[in-house]
Amino acid sequence: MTALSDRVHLRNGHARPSRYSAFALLRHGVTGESWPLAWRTHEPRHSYDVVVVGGGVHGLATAYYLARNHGITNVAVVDKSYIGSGGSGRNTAILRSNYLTPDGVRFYDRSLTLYQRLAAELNYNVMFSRRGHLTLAHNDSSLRTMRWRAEVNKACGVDSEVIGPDDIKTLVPFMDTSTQTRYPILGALYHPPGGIIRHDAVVWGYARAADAMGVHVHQDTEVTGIDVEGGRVTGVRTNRGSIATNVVVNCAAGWATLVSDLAGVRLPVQTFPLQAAVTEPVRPFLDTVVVSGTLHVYVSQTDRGELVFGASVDPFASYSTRGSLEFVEGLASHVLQLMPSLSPLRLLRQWAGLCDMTPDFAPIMGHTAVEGFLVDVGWGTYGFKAGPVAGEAMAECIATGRTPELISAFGLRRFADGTLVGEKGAAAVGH
Amino acid sequence: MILLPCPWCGSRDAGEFSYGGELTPRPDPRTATREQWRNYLYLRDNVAGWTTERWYHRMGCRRYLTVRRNTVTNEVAAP
Amino acid sequence: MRESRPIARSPITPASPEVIVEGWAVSGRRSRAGLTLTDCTPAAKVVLKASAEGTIPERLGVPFGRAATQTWTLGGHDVAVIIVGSGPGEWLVLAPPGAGAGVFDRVTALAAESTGDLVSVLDLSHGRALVRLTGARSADLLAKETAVNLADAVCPNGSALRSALAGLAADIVRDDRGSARSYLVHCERSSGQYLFDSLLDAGAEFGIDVNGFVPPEI
Repeated sequence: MTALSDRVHLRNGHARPSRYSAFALLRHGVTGESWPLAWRTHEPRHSYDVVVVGGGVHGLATAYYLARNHGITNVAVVDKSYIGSGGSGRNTAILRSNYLTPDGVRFYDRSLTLYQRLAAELNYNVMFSRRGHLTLAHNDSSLRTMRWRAEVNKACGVDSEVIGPDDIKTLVPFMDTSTQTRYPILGALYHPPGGIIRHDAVVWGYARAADAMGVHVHQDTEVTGIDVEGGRVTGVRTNRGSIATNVVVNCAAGWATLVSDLAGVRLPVQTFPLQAAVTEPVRPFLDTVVVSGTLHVYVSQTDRGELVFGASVDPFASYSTRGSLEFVEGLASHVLQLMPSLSPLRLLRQWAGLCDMTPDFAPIMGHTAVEGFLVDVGWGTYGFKAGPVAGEAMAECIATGRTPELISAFGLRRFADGTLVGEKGAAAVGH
Repeated sequence: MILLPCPWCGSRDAGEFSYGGELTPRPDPRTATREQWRNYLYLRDNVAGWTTERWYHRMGCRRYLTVRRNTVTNEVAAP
Repeated sequence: MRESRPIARSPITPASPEVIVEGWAVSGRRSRAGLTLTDCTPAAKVVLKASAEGTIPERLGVPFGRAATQTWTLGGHDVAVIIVGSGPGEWLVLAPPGAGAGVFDRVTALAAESTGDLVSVLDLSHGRALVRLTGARSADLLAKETAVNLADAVCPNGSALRSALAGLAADIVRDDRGSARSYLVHCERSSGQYLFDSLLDAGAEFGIDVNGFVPPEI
């Protein structure tokens, strides 16, 4: 049995997974062979050059770019559960770069660029679907902000424009663009490069590609302590034993403060759940992403035909990932105001992901007061779309010891210095 | 549904309240250093477990109350 | 003298026929349905805020969470007013339309007698909406829109509370009319029409009907 021997072989950590291709697909189809595991499992080494805490898109991308861009492969990614079990597998998979400040636009445009070529680069189908992104304006002030964003976007070379209700109706015929609604639609910021992607595939793709370059991915490995001696990181303790290392990167998102506390680094982060829901699948009818800040809702249709809905964060801090009835009630009423014809649709399931919210709704990236302890946290409600660029920047930060220009505004020091970032206007829905 | 124990109105649905966040002692603004003040503004314990927090009963008695809540299970206890 | 042009309008559109009462455009409809909804917005509404621990609660004779009808002599006339303990240190005085100025003066005088206490008196007659729901099924209707337990054991006649009703912050006052179960609901003026429509919608299954406002009874 080839498949079994493949698996045993891979477990022992000697061979690399084969390349995915049309030929491989045909061969496996004809022979009925099982596919080899996408990444290997290992016993943790006694020491690594870098230990990344958190096996989501940020952590895995950091490990991948450390290996690919800087040749640092003695890296472990540890996750207390399975990879992608946190925000990376719970977000609504929307990608865009139509931000408000030039810094924000450049940052997310880089991320979108990386996402667009990710499938080819990782040899993994991440199902990126460029389908246009509409942010609705229901009042004069948001329309003014849309115009502002459109101009900043154009100046940065990002395709965005403000369109009126007629054009919106053409793009989304099911939208109620009449003036008889509680919050009539005055216009929208239309951002053609925006789209959706398969979030799990991004996680798996990064894990497989990082593994192929020698990175160890340790699932079910919880960090229980971080050893700091004389202000320097010397190792991490896990439920699978101690690991010596001089560099620890906190990519734990909703659990960010729990990990930082282990190193004695306090973060201005509070954890809030963000809920999402999905309907039963229906025929494709919605080929753009629709967002309404006023109604706190965003909608897209997956390739399977399900409608994916998201909202703003829950109104109070919590580590609970249970859904609530209040959320579904509010969501239904908001979605039906936008598209009344969706009323017969049934929800299949709802869930929550944990968002690490910062006071200025901007991330915290880079070095901390503890040498060798780096953070890539505070991504709040928009971490997924920044995964690739954050990983690339963190890898550079670790490899060179310098903070890349792209993320220099996001340092932890800004809260002590009073130099907060002002990207609230377009960072996410709901704030 | 999460019920919060309002000392004036009795147990009410959490949706009637505004979240005031974790109870953080406010330093004296006349003597606090810049760092102490910014820590007070921005740093939170963000505990995964039992924590003490303030809530405002905006749709009821319009009074503030202190609540003990487990942030993992959302169980609520009297302070 | 029959008035022909209104001075004031409720935020709630009157069911036809429209008539003028005390300068307010109200519905002249008369219903004998088992469950009725009446727009009582023309009623005078005066809010008093003071310390819950001061002398005012004793003078008004109504604690937080309770409501009572009292007879006040205003300008030589006996007027039935409903005093609602709507919050800790907060009272709402409801009176027939036209009695607003008298109630305001009376409450202001009462507040002035209270020493060492910060008090405020506001005439919110035109800033709030007030509706009355009467009928045996009124509690069943309200139960569709609020999470508060309205059973007799918890909210007997004379109870007052503020809670979320149809998503609004609203004062709910149990104020039975004779043997008929009845509730007053008080909310911001801008939410009045929504509240009224929402109650009519939720009450359809109980055969709800609109009844016009006939002062002086609120």
